[in-house]
Amino acid sequence: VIHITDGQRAELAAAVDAWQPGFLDQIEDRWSLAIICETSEDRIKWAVTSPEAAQDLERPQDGTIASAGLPMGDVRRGRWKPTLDAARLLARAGCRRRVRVASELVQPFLYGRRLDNPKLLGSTGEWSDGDTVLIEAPNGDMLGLAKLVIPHEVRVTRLEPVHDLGWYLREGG
Amino acid sequence: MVEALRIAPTPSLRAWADAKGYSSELVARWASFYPHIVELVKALERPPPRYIRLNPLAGDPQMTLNRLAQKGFEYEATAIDGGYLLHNEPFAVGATEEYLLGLYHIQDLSSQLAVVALEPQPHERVLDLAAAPGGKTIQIAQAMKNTGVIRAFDIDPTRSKAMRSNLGRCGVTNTIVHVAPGQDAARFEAWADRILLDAPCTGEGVIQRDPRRKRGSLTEYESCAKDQRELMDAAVKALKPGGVLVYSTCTLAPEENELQVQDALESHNLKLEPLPDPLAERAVGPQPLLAGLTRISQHELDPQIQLTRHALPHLNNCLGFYLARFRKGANE
Repeated sequence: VIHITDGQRAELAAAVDAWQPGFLDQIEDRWSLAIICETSEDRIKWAVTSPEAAQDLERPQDGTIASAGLPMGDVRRGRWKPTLDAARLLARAGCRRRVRVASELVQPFLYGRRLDNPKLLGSTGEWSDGDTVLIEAPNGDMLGLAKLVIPHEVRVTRLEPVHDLGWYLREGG
Repeated sequence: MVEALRIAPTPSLRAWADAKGYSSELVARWASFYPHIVELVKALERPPPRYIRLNPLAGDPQMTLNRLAQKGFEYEATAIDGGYLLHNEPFAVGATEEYLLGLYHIQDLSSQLAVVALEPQPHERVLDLAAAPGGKTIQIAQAMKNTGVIRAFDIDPTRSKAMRSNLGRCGVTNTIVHVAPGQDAARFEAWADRILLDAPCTGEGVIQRDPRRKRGSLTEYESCAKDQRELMDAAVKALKPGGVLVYSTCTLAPEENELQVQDALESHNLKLEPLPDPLAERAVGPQPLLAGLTRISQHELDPQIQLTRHALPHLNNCLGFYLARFRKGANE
């Protein structure tokens, strides 16, 4: 786990800006969080932490660290796959890629059901077939991420949950 | 080497314990250590009360309460800020959208006490040993307002994974999770301002959740006590001079509680401190916490140990728990 270099930051920023322009600056400036990453040949795995935790990670570490801060996901070939934790931060940042679903679709979505021809209450941003978007409840709660399948480019016809959100609800408590 | 304290059960107590499905040796010990043994066993036979803790890191606590009330949940504030006792669950409190959003987590009152005793402050360095599934880690992060750094250790990879999920759900950003035994924390020499050592134990206090403990063997104390002593040694090494160490267990066995504390006082430059409000004097649940025992069988213990506290199911309406708060001296 290391602090991010300028080159990695530029690559990361380009991928993240596709979701929410200026998101990295917002993380650092608005929420006073630090960005850390772990890199391999073809990917950047990144997370956000308190500045003190990031500083503490500069000391020599052993191999027992399983995670640090909130995991934000991986960037591969210029594309970012946000985690559910990242989706929560994106929602707080007012992410433009959002779809608001009707109340009767909230529970099916949370329990992992694919939504075919869903009743939508609204949407923001631009997307194309295969993109991932934030899914919101009617009251604005961020429910998770879904892949959009748009056969005719205009109408959203299918939302496929990206994460198994139901895990929390099945295991919770 | 810890030798279990053996108290011979009277014939009537043996018959009564057998009828209830308990080891009579276990009940005889409790009867000699704690008040109102009949009430204690009755409380152990009831389902455990359900407590939640609101999470200000994820949302406004009042809004969370309003949302739960709208769904038919009934609750009551506890003596611990942010902690609530549930009176009515129209459906499982772990299966709500609010839970998914991290607006609260489920945590017994007893385990909330440990973090109140620790008093973590913003921008500090905190070690949380044997941390999974992370309820107390989340509570520490709340007290620190997500600043500073927490290093959370747990040896179990499965439980550590659950902890990482819980931390993420609740929006905790200041924590580094180690999948390692707490003993490994010794290499962070004089690093921590505060340490929570919620030691693995025989779990006599959580019989309401795990009834197998009713017939627990007295021989289990020895192996638990050995681990507890090693963890205590590691914690003292990792603690800064002047730092605070909270030792806790969920057992009723003095071999793992007062006698461990006595051993720590004799082996290290540690002093016990009174627990902060409301743990020292005020009611937590129906009654105040019980002071630590200073005489156990033939053992006369350090009088400081009366500053430690027991939470007991029949006195405090929570799982059984033990708490001791140490301050490390300058010369350790």
